[in-house]
Amino acid sequence: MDMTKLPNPATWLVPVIGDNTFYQGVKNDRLIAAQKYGGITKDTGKVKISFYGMIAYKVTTPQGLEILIDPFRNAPDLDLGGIWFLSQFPEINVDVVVSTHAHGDHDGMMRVKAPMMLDRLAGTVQVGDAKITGFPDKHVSNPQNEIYDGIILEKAFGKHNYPPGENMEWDNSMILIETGGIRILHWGDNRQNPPQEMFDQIGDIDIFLSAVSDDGHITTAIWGEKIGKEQLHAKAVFPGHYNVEGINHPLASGIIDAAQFTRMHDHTFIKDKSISFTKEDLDKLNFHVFYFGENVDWDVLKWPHQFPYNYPVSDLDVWPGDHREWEQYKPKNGDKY
Amino acid sequence: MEKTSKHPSPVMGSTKVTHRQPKHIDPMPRLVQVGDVAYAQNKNNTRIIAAHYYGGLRENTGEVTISYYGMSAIKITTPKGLELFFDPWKNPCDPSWGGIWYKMRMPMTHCDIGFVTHSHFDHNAYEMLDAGMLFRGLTGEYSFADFKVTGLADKHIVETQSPVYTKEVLDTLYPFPNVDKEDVDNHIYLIETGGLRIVHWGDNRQNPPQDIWDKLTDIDVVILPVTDDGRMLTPEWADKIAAKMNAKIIIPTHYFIDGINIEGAGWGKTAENFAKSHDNTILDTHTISLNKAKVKDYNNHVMYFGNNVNFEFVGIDLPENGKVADIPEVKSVWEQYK
Repeated sequence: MDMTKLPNPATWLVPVIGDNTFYQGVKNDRLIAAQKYGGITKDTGKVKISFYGMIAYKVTTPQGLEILIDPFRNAPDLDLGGIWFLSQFPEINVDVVVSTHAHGDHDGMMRVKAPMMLDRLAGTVQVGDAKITGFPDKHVSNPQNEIYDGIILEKAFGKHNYPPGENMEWDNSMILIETGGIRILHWGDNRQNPPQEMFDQIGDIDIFLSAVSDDGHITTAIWGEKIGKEQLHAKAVFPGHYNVEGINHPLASGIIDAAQFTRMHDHTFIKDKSISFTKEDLDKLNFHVFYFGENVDWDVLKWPHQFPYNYPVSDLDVWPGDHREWEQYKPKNGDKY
Repeated sequence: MEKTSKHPSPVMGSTKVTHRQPKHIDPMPRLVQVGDVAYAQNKNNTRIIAAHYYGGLRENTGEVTISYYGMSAIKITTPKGLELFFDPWKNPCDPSWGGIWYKMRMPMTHCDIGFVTHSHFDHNAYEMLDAGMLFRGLTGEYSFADFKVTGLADKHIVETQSPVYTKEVLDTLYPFPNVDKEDVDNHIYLIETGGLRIVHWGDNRQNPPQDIWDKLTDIDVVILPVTDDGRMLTPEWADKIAAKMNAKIIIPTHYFIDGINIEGAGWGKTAENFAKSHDNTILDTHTISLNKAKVKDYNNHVMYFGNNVNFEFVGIDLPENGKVADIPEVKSVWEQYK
């Protein structure tokens, strides 16, 4: 083997800070189509929602524009809360990637091949058949979840974590997507009590992509109901920010699933990897919880850890076999050169 | 070494799992993705929330200020005080991806909203912005507070038609294995604020389609990457583009600045001749204030920032010193353990 043709080992460790789409070969052709024709596909009349783990939700508009909100990653520095994820976020192609705030479980934009990024959006973007509006507010700092309070969060992150004087990590923008006559709100990790003025600006919501999990890491079941029912009058509610086996580290951050919250209300356990709605479908519902559970829209690697193991053990001769690659150098005459 | 036609993702931890193809040797360097670093910022979104509720951050001054930061980096401050920053620059993370272009870093700079026209390192260093929000590749109409930005998705310049920067020269300078150089993205930004229509061209190709030209009519200020040697836009193309937009003022960018840019890193000329061959103002400052009344009598007037940028360069004179200093004694701190 010609060692000079191997990549220089030092280049394996080049940190790419910030934008890395140059290296991913991202193309904006679908955005050009949306700009030119108002959409990418024929109008399906339906909005599609799919789940990618943690609180990463993808909204596909009736005319095919794909908007992904809050892809996750492990923060680049282990001091920032440690390892939270066992899997890397899948390298998927979408048209727009949006992040609600600068925390590792929400700002893994570098994993996503998207020609358009909206980081911590405030204001309104009209693109294709979607209108995306950001409502800037603050991150939750006192979740009131009976397991831990803001003081432990402050200890884990080593930072002052509530206003005034907090840094960008403890801010949050809620993301409202209006498309096909449907209004979808992604909560991010927003505090429970944004000003009433902001709720008035947001108005009534059809689909509430919430941060409700049974442990209430961000939004407790009680707060989820208060916000979703009383303030947003949500028709469909999706839990988020909950534990998915194979994605979340079971010991990090103490989050569990959201099955109990789901059962407490009219609910549907979604069996597929996505679900589509028309405006008429949603008008029949009132705070109906749709729970993806572990049905994320990608293949998660799950380690076989149940006992007894029921995996076939293959013979070493069969797999990987005894490949004596060195024998190509075997002397033709005798045992040694 | 076995050759494969398909490159795996150059990114470490790729879901394409190259280790399951043991006979395949990856010809690409692998990169450690650090990604976004906004969590390390010290500021917060207080100014953004204020602009959301009050539509601005101060009383209307009636003027838009435009400030130059080298390369294509421009900060536009709206009459109500929102700071929009376009195209911050940096050296590439690894010199093998384009070489070292700059003697210094663009300093960490405050703004409210950072915009990136395309993902080349001379335009995409948004980690150097202390920003409330960041947009890359914005397409469509964005409205907030007292401004509107329209992002027009198009493509990067491919053939400069410069006598110096031919395709062969550029292929030698930038031998990227994973990039289709005929098809690189770029987004033109049209900024509307304080009654002015300002265009940041990024490195867009010279001939976008008609539907984009239709949006770029009656432009007050156009920010163009034009240099005398045509590193991006040649003077001829800059003239054509400015004339097509009916631009009142042209601001050249993306030119050589002594103190920031390194000579011979694939370029070398300023835009001085371009400026002087037009009706021009050679500015002696890094920031200008404009409004509708001030710009109305100009037609293709070049305002040239030259070497004036809105930060201090790190520059040292090296005069010969007559007196040579003594070699200092080192403090013997170790003696405390004696």
